[in-house]
Amino acid sequence: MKILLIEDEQAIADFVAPGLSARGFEVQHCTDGNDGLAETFKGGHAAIVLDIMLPGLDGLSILTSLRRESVMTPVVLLTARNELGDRIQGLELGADDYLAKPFYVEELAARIHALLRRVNGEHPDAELRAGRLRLDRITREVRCGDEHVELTGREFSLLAYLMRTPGQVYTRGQILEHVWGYDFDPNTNVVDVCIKRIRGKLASIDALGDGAGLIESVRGSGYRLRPLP
Amino acid sequence: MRSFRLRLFVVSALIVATTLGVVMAIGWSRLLDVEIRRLDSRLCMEARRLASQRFGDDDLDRLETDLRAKLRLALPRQLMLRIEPADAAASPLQSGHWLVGLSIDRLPWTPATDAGADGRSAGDQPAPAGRGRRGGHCALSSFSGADTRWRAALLVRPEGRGFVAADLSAARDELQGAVRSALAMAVPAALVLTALAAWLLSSLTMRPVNRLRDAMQAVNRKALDQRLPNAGEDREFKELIASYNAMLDRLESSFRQSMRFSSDAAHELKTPLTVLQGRIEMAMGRTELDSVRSDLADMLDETRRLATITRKLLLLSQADAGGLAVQRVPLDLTAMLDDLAADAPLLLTGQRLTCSIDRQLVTPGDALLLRQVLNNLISNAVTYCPPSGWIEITGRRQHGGIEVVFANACEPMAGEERARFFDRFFRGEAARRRHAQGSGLGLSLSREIARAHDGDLTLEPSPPTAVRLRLWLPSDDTNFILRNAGGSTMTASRS
Repeated sequence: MKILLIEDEQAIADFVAPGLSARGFEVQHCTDGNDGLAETFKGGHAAIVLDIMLPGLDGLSILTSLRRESVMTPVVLLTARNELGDRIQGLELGADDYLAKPFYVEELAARIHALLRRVNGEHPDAELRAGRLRLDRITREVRCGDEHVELTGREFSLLAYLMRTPGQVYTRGQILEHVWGYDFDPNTNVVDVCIKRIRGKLASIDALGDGAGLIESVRGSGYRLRPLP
Repeated sequence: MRSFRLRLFVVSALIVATTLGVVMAIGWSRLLDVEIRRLDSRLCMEARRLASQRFGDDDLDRLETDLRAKLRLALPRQLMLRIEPADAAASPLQSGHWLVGLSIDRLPWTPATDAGADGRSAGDQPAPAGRGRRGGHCALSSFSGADTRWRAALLVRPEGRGFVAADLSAARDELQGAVRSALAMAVPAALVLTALAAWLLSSLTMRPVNRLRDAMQAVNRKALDQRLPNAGEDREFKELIASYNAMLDRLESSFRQSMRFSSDAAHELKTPLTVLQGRIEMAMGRTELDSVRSDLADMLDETRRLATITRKLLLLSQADAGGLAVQRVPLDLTAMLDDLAADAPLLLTGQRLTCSIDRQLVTPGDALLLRQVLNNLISNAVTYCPPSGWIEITGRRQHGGIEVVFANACEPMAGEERARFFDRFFRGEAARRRHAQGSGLGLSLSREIARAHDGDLTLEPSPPTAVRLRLWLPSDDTNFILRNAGGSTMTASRS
């Protein structure tokens, strides 16, 4: 899948491009708004990652031109500027998603995947699987084999977040931001407590199998879902 | 509050009333003057008659009555007359009422200069000074006696002298009576006129002021490029409008500058943060060494904290520059508060939490920002509440809005510490002692966010061992769907 990255900061492109490549995307990079617009009209991109502040033509103008010409390629906006106005304007102009800088490449990749699934008519992340564990994001149900696992809202979000990319290590801050939102104090032990509870619930259902060891602590770093064999 | 309009009204009323009073006083003295001159001419005429005709003793009563009628004097004691024939043999004739010790020759006489004093019309040839035509000349005098003022005329003719004196107060009384009856009509009318004039004046003055006020109110910070038009205004108001517009120019330029600053700062700060975070994330994915990964994870979380503080500062500077642009959609505040209550067991360090949250609290707002406010309030409560204390969250509808109160027990807190609650980078004693993380920006930003939603965040009065923060948000009742009515109470605690 080919992604068009329109981003003028070389230092940012330098980690976004390899990061997306490592996750299975093919990345084409433009540093200038006008070049970017020209590239978008050539087509062949599965999605566009668009920075708002660009030399030449700015991101919002590119977006406007695209949508006016009925080019409906999904667009993820990246912005560093005063985010409130940009967020509102960007979504009004027809952006499909929005990421505020600074962002995690992992998050960007997940958003692009979700967008592509949506465009292809699939439910985004409808069902996540890890071993015997099945998580349905629509019905918000978790099953281990045939057994139903009763989780609270946060526990569900956390498990879904980890199951998104098995093997990927997430720091407490990352988990906190994704599951609880921006502002939670990263030094509270809320993530650890929550993980402990999920583990406890899984273990009570499937003590020997997927339950106990599914969520791994990565010493000093954070947590990850046990990598798929 | 003092009213300029009222003051204007009172001052104009005073000025108009004073003017009216002065005009009336001048009119009164002129009237009196005219009246006295009329009296003078009558007196002279009568004195001439007395001097030129022959009268006997029998005529005296008739003469007195006649004169009193002509001079309009009611009482005999208001008139004095004396006739002294030149013929020494004939005896002088004198009225029954005569002031004791009054001597005609000792009175200070001034010759009547006015032609009218001769009893002729003013159109006649003016008489030579001191001399009347037909031989006599009239002299006038004022004197007092018997508790009143007298006016007297003396005419000397070859045949003899005629003297007539009238009580001046009688004449004045008559005039006063007439004026008083006239004033009885005029004064209420004058008062009404005065009030009317004062009202008109104050309205006239206030009209451009009101117009300016309306125009100024129309110019808010979202439309700083608007200027007041000065076409058709008076010179004084043109100057005022010019000053106001100049002030707006300065305001607009500083507003634009701070907006640009906030925007530029956002870009300049966030770009390196993005690079830093992305690089660390990439490095973390590449290493297999636990120790390195652990270091990188710490760095990532610290970078994240830096990003969070930066974001808060930028939001605050945006709020300072002219308000946060908030995109409002109907938000289920009840669900957000329920989430918070469900989270609480994970957050608490032994505190007892009570929640009482009404159903169907819907507010028009930005989910991201309001969630941030609620997160701030709960972390604040947990930070300041001692492990054995209590925390209370209430959410209810109130006065067409929604009131969410976060109350918690705290170690005794002085008023000055409370007063600094919303200061930026302020962190309470308790937070510092417990090494709690946090930038000290949360509450001040939360308040800005609440205000950007047309609500507010305030510290409510409470005993020294409790903190009560009240979040008020407008309610959006048009959008809620009637589900189960009533409230729910739940209690969560962690041992």
